[in-house]
Amino acid sequence: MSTEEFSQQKSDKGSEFEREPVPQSSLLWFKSFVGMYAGEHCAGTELMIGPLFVAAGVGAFDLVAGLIVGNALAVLSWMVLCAPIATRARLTLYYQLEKICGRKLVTLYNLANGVMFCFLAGAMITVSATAAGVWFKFPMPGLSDLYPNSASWVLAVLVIGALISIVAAYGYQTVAKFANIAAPWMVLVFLAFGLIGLGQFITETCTEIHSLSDVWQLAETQIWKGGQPLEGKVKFTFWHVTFFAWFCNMAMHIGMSDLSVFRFARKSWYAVASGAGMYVGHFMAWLSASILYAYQLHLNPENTDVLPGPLAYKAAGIAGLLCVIIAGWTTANPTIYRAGLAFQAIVPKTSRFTVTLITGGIATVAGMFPAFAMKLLEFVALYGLLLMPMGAIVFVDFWLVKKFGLQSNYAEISGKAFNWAAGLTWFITLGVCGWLVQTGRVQIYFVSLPGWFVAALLYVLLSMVYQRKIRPVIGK
Amino acid sequence: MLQKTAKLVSLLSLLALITPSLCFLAGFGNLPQIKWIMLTATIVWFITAPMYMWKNNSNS
Repeated sequence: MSTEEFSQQKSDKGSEFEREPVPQSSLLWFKSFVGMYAGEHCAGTELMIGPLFVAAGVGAFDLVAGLIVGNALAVLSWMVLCAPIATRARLTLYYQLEKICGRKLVTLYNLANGVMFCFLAGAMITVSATAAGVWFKFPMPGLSDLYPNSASWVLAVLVIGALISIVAAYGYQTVAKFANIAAPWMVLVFLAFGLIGLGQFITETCTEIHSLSDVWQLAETQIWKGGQPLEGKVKFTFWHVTFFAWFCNMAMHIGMSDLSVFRFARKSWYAVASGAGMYVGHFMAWLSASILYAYQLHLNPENTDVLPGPLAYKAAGIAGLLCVIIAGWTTANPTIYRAGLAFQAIVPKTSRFTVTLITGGIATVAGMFPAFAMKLLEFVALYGLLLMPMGAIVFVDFWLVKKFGLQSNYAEISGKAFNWAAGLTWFITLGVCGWLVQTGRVQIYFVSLPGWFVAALLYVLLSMVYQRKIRPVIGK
Repeated sequence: MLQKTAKLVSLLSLLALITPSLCFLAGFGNLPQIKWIMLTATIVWFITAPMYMWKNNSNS
């Protein structure tokens, strides 16, 4: 079951519980969540992230241990921060935010969310376009390219982006169903990438494998050797990998986007199902993709291009290429659709079809710029950071504000369309985090952790001032 | 009956998809051959799986 099918659970009045708690009769069992997470987190972008770890000069222990720990922290974040609120309030993030922040601030949030979704979808279109390059043999962008490097590249992205956008606008549900069918096949192709890549390393290095320790030695000395990163890349350590794995879906768990998903869960522990996505997509798939890239570097250290199409084709032939196209397409499709929904909330009179097409157009233009894909590690960290303060606000508002003698859901109670305590919390937190990153005090991969505490503290302090000034309507 | 057969064949195609890469890791088979088997398994999966999964998806 995909995320969108969750939203298809309808009330008697035909609504999707957008502005009411999900009733008991519409709750879902654990299995639905396992399927959704396993499918959704095995995406086209995994084929970029794995190689970028290798480009960042990561060592074998740092990568494997970092991914185990980081993914566990991500699952815990869903279980401890997101799902307990979701199963108590049973509201979408947008409605919950509207009650806390007011309609106008939520509009701003939607804009930020929609823009980031567009860029993410752009990276997915880039990934799919690299598969077209194998067939049509046009020049493709290199690791350090930020701008389109050929007219044929632009044309390929344009065609693929237009196709994805039109399909998202016309037949979104059909692609969602197709994505569910493709998911088990895709997971196994990702696994095959890793197994074939490992086999190639064993053959190429003439390594004798008698035990797991031999495999580990191969991993340490040939695949993830550590050492200096490639030019222009930040050196990744255990902590970088851990924090990246933890925060790459920060918008969903700590940022609370998945309140909209877990409001359908019977129990909050169902959030452990996110582990299926983390350890399939963000462990196995990342390791597999990184092995393919490491093998490319092993054969030719000069060839630093991170191009999922050629990498997949060399390992698994046409099946690999199809995997790149389908993985990019099936994940860009819901991303464009969600971005469209976020924008449509801002201009509700515009049809969903038109908004989705325009959104797809923006994503396509973004996809022409390889910067979003080649700097995906930094972009994903920025995406989580941007939406994180709102997650902290939801958490504090739900669990803590009453303990300080403050009102929760203050915008709803006071009738305000813009809760300045929440708004300032968001802006100041981003300002502080931006300053920490710009001045080199904290790298972007880590800054969201102190940022969350800054946001939580600010929201309490600013609410103390703001709620004293603006008396609730009910209280009058 | 058709759905049961489709389910069985599709599961076998997944097995055919992953087994060659395991064999390659173990030192058997050559890569071009493996690529063809994977493509065949892919075609079989996308023909047979929708026969029962498409309907299930619609129901859910």
